[in-house]
Amino acid sequence: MSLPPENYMCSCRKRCGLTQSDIAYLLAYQSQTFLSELENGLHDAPLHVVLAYQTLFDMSPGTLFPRKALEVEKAIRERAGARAHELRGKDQCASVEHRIMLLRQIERGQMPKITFHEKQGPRAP
Amino acid sequence: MKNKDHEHHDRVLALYPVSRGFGYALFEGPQEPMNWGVRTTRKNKNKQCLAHVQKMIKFNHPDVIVLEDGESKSSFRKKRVNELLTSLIALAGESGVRVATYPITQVHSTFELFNATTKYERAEFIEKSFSTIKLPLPTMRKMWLPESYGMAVYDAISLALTHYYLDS
Repeated sequence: MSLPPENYMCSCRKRCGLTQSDIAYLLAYQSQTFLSELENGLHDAPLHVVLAYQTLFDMSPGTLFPRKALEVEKAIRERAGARAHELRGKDQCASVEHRIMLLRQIERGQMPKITFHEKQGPRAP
Repeated sequence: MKNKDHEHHDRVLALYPVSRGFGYALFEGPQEPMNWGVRTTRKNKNKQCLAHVQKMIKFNHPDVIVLEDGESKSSFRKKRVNELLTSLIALAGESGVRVATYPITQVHSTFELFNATTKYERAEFIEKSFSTIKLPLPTMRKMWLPESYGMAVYDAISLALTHYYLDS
C-alpha cells in the first residue's frame, strides 16, 4: 500500500453525518473556514481539535493523522540512532549504557511502553 | 483507517465526470467509504477538474484511480469528457497511481447481480448498503428533468464498487 492520507478528519465527519458547521460549532469556532482548512491539510491541527476528535470519534491522533504520525516516528528513530551514537563516546556508566540501550531500541522501532495508573479526576455529572 | 478487514484492500479513488464537474468516491475497502462528494467547475472545466484531482491524489495517495472507459463502444461520453478522461489517465501515470477503467456496461452488469438495473436502483442499493454514506437519495428522474446534482456521487461509488467486485 502507498503512503496513508494526510488526515481522516473529513472521513470521520462525513461518516457520522455531521456538517462542517456542526463540528465548527462544537469546537467553538465562529465559522467552518478554519475547519475546512484543517480538513484539507493546510494547517496543523491545534491540540484542542485533536482532543475533540478523540472525544467525538474515538480516533487517536496517530490514526487521525497517519502521515504525520509516520513522519514523526521516522524522525524520532533517526534522532534516537544519532543520540545513541553521541552517547557512546561519553563515560560508560550504568545509566548511560541503559540510555544507549533504550535509544537503540527506539531506533529499531521498539518504543518503551509506559503505563500510568490514571487518577480519577472530577467528572462531569 | 487501518483495521484487519481492509488492510489488504487498495485505496481506490473513483471519479465520474459530469457536466458540472465530477463526482468522486474514496474507498479503503469495499465496505469502507472514506470520502465522497461532487466538485463543481465553471470555466475551463477540464483544467479545473485536473487541478482538483491533483490535490486529491496528493492528499489521499490512492493506490488506484477508477474511471469509466470513454473509448468503449458502449460509452456515450462526448469529446470534452473523453479528453478529460485521457488527461486523468495521464495525470495518474505521472503521479505513479495505477488506473483501472471500466466500460459503463460492466458497471451495469455488476449491479444487475444485485437486481439494480437503472441508475436510480443502483443509487438505492448503495444507500441501503452503506449506512455510513449519509447522502440524500436523488428523486427519481423524470424524462424532462436534468440529472440530479448528487447522482454523480452514486455513479462514482458504483465505479469503485465495480472495481472491488471485479478485482477480487
